[in-house]
Amino acid sequence: MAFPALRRGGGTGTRSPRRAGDSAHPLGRWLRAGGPIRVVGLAGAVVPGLVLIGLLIELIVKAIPAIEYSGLHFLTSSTWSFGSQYSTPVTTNGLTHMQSEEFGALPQILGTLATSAIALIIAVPVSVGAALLIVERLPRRLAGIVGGFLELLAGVPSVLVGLWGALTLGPIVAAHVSPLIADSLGRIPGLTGFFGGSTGNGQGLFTSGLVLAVMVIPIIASTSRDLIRSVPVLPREGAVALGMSDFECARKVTLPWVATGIFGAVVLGLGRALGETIAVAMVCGVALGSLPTNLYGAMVTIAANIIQNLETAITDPMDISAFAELALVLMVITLLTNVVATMLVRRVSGTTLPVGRGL
Amino acid sequence: MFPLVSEWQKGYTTANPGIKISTASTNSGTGISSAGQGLVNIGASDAFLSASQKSQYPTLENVPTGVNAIEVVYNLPSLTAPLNLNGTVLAQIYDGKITTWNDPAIAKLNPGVTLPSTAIVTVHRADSSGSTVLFAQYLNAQDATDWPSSLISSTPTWPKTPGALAETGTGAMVTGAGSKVGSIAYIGDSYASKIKAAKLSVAAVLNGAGKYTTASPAALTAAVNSFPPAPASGSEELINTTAAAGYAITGYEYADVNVNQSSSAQADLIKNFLYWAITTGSSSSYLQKVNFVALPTATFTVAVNLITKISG
Amino acid sequence: MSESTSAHGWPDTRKRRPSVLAVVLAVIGIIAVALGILSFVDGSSPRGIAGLVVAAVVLPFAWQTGWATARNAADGGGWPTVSAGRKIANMWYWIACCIALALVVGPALWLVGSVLAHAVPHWQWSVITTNTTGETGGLKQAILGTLLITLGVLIIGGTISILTGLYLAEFATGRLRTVLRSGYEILSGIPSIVLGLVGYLVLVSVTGLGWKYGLLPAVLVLSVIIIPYITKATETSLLHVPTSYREGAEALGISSAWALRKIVFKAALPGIVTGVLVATAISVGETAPLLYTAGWSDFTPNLQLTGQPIAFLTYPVFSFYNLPDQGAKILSYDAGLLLLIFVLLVIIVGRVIVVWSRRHAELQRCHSSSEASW
Repeated sequence: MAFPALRRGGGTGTRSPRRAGDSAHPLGRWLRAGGPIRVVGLAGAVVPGLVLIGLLIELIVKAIPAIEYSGLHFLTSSTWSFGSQYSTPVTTNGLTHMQSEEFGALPQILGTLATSAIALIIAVPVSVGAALLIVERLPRRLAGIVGGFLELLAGVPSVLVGLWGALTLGPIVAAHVSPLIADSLGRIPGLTGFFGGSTGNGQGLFTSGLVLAVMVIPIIASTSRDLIRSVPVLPREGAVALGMSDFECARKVTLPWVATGIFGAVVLGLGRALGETIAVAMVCGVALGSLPTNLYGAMVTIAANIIQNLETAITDPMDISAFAELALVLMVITLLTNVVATMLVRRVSGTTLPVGRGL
Repeated sequence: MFPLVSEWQKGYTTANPGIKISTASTNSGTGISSAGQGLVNIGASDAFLSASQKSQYPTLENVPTGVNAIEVVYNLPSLTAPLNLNGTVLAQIYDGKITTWNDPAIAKLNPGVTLPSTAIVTVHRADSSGSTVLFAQYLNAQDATDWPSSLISSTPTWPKTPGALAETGTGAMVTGAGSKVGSIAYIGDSYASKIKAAKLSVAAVLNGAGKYTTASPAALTAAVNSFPPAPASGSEELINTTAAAGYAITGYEYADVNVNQSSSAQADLIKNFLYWAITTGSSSSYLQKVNFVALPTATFTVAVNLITKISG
Repeated sequence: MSESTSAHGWPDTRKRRPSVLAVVLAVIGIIAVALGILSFVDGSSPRGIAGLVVAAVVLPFAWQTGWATARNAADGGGWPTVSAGRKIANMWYWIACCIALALVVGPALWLVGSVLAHAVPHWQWSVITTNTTGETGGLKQAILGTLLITLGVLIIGGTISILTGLYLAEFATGRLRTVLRSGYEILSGIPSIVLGLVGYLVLVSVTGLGWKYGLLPAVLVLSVIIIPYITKATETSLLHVPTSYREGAEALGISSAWALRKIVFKAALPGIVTGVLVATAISVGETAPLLYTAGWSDFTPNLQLTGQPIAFLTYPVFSFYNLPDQGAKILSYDAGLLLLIFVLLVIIVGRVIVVWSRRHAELQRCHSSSEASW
């Protein structure tokens, strides 16, 4: 009897029959608001977090015997030995292990950090310089082709880069590049210890750094290119109007504008370099238990050690424990890098705003 | 070992169509651990199971399938006759105490040979290897001061030597040694044809009787016969034989198998293959290709007993 | 920089001689280059490098000083003098950038070239049609294994990732969103070998679930590795769908579930598909985790989930590359060639999708016009 339009809780009288029952029933309302997808989505969204937590728990639980056994020695000692395999196991402090078994991971930790450092030292200037050239000078079509090369390099499996590094790059580095560097930089007093000396056989710190640089360059270069492209035209035109050269414009306008973004890309590349396993395992020379004497010497990284010896280690619980501890150390290093970088970016971007933002 | 397993795979599947065998060449440590965990049906290893491995995998047994040797191989194209080397010199080379080929210690063992002044590049296995165990056992047997028993392991802590190469897998040892003049390596003799193809030379090694021998089938037979018969477990060390004609770095090649298989059908498949391996597979047509020697009669019985224990 | 295209044209250098300083510097520079090259040929690289460095410093100054003097003089000295140092710095900057570009493109070309040079001359079609036997044969079972693993990864990992990205972009708010997002972002920073190690301990080994090598452990571990990539792509592309779409849908009375399904998700689809392609490329190229979860096999893969090792294409590259057998090495390069072809396919398909999505985005023109009016 009353005006249908004024009926409480309802909409207008002209309702499409398809939607009958949707506002009246809570289930219908839930369905309309995307209820099922919410539930399923939440179920999916917690999976990565759960996996992460499970991973950490598993590693920590497995690593406890080795942590108890080695203590801080793990991070400071250079001897990595599974002990005399054919002797009888002994027990110290309730932990069963082989005689003269010692886990000192210092060369591996330093190796991981050193290869990544060399990779970044080479990759960052090269990537940023190439990005500047691509954006500011290359014609459209060439820039597209170079972008294709970057995508190709980014997509190449790391095992292929390791193959190229071991069979093609390594011998050339050993025969031509290392002697050149040793002859020139190695003569500067003070640097002789690092750059001079025996030039090795192409498998070592230098080749590993080069191989990692090749893998990190596409990440930093493509991100830098996108960032530099996003710098607005007005500030750059203003620089030219003021009479700045291209170099000065890049130094004072373009790069500061995108500095935090490039820093983020560098951290991304560093993360990849720290965790890279296969390519480094193929070119590092796997010198367990000793630091290289100079730039060209054989070394080992945490990841390379794990991949070489994991299957043997499973026969001995203490060995597996040591590998779990190694994995934890590697995870801590990568996580620390990410956290420190995030904090730095937050700190920096708060205070240094490039000129012209907000125009 | 892998060249022989490849031959066995070809021969067995031809004789028994319907059986498929998948092989992979990894290393002895993987062979033992994968067999122990049931990840593979049969693992292979140059080294017998250690006490701790036995306690970790109580149902794992090592079945001797053949006799092989570890050759000491070097890359000096200028020399024609094989060099004489003994355990002391080898231990000091791998220790870093001897660094050039014309060292007086090497010259003393090889009178009349002009040794080049090339630097020695030691090549060792980066992964877990039974060949390393046999080699280390020999070094320790001849020179326990330079190579203590703590260094007898499939993954020892190699002393630092200048320019050392660490290779993954026996095949890579051949490639690595072949790529660098002056290198020295220890390689299983089943790779003899590849060693020759890489233009590497084989050394004559000092045995426990004071004689220098190379790894010929006769020398292997003499070595294996100079030791008592293998115990029921199959694990026996055949290093540093006192037989005058025997080769010093000899060992059994083991197949590591789990006594408890998932099903009796699976157990029968494995048993048949292993029986075939130590009978038809140990005939001269197979072993000649890889320089192995067949098991002596007593060890053959031990192997048969071990195979019979496999059940599902 | 307006000096290079002077309105006065080329300066009339006939009338003025370059300064004495310029001539002296030029002579020194040329002698330095000659000595440097001779030293290199002689074998003494420090002196060679020193000579080239001296030339590199001196010659540009000679050029700038001589040119600037002549030009300045010809124009009657009306131009403001730009310091030679700044111009030379600019020149070196561009030279350095060109070298940088060469260093970026060079290794890519070299890598692809070396794989092609080793694989193509010995290519046989039997590589695709026969299985591996030991260290020879073909790669058929490896190709099939990789395809099977990738399919499983896309089904399991892709579903979880898209759901996660959807939930994070559309429904999660505030703290829940930060927590869930950091969950998968931290996961993206974990090295793949660590995930392989944990997968081995938990799934494969008898100390864990004891599934042994198989398809399922491999798929699960690889899914965890690629989840962050697809999730990020889904979340980003969903967030990029303009609010005007959702507002328009709500204004028309469309339920939010319907709008999400038919409008928002469809608009975000190209970005999601690009993310899926990236994840495919990554999962095809992974080696370390597969070594410990998939094992290796010479048999054609069946669909058995656990207990049957499965072959994958990156194994031959890692295991056969330094074997003395020429055949094994060629097989290793053949696997590398197949991997490269696959990566190329992924890139081409990605580009096609980007071009197609741009052409079919109806509101693109409306967008650009609205932005220009701001």
